[in-house]
Amino acid sequence: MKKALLLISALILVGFFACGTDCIIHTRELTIVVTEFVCSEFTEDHNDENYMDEIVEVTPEFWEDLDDLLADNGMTHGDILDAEVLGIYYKVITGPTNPPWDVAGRFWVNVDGVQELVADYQFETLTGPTDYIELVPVQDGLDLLTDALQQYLAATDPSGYPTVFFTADRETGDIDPSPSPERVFQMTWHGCLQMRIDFTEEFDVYDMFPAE
Amino acid sequence: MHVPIRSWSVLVCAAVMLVIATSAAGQIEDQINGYKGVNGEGYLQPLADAIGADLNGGLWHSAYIPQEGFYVNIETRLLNVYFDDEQRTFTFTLPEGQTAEQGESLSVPSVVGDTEGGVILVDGFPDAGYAPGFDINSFAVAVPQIRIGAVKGTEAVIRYIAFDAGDVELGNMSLLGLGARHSISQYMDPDFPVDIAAGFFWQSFKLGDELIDASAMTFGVHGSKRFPAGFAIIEPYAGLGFDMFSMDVSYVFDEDGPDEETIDLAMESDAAVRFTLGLHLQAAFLDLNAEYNIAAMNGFALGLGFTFGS
Repeated sequence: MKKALLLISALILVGFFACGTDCIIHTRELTIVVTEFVCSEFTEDHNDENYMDEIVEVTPEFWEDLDDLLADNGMTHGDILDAEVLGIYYKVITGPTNPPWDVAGRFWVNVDGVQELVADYQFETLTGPTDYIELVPVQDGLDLLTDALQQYLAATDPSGYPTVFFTADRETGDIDPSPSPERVFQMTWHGCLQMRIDFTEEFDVYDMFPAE
Repeated sequence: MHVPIRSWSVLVCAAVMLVIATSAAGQIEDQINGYKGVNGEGYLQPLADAIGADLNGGLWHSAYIPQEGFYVNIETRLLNVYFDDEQRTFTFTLPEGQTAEQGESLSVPSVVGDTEGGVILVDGFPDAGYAPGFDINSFAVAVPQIRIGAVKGTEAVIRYIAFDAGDVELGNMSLLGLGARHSISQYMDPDFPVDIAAGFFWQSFKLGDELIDASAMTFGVHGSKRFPAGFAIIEPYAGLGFDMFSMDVSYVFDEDGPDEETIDLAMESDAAVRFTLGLHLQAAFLDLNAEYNIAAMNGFALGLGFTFGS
């Protein structure tokens, strides 16, 4: 009996070391989704009606921001499963002076010479700094941005990135009340895209009795 | 009495297994770094429940405690619990004033759930990303412990292990447990058919630089019956206990980002009754036991120990 028990004890220990970590450590492939904002800054400073009929073009460091995002997460383009533009937002950073103001306008996106309307906002009421507020997107513009994103991800170096710039335009009547020397409209705000990027990463996990 | 060299091998193996159990913590921290408040708690709650259920198990395997005499029992316990389907998901909470778009589900993976992360579309506000789980079905830990007795039918139980996990993210790991068990049957008629004891145990588990700080307590009543079998003693045992567990987790939200802040989560497992049924085999210096626990999380425990002394 004593010998049998010693044998059982030895077998348990052999089992521990023979099995080792292979029996309890398993590899899992996780699909990780990252959402991030890529923004362009706009500055308003108007004291007369010449504010109207204004077109502002902004070429953001769009792809540089995305390159930084990937680098921060230790990723390269080849690690990305999928990506899309989820929506378009604005965020008031400072101002506006002399609130409230009701403003309207349009955002356009231009990708390699192809231009599409991406948002047409109607009289957003501005009273002070805000968090991200969603604008109703125009699908054709979102689709163009998503195509640009896919082209960016397929590129092996920056020379293959598409050229993207945004245009904000307003027309007479797009702000109420009209700015004047007595009531100046000053504000800093961001126009942003919320991006979704999916990638996979493998992890070893500890599970003695996995389901499968 | 000389403890055979194999017993030290068992203890080393136990320490290795506890390290392995903690090795996932760094990866888990990466996933919860995007969560704040109640969503962090929901994501991690199954892990807290499992750690508590495991730590409160395998503390004893016999209600027999001699009135007097010196002995030291060096033991290793393997404690395992299983996750159920309900624990694989939790309900994501959006910030106040925000609602999900129609048709969107708020049921998302917990730390032990499905490996697919995703996005919840939110009306009028930024869409909310959620983390994947690690698809874990069971959670086991192995711990060393020592029982020392006995004075007036009382023995002490100690668990202790501390080391550097060797991972920059995790830092140090330590487990300290202290408890005592007292023989009730010493006050009863010598012909009483079973041995009865009562016990209390407290444990503290810390991982990393304030990543996890947990404490567990259990108390209960134990019963067993010893059957001599030649060279050995076969002893079935059963017990009824009450478990409590709490875990504090601290991590950095949006590290290095514009919204960086330290998030502190306080999680408590529901206090739960534990019913234990097991079998103990003792032969000379060797102790083996196996038990099943019905508690907040069901699971089993295996034990291997070496006794020297009376």
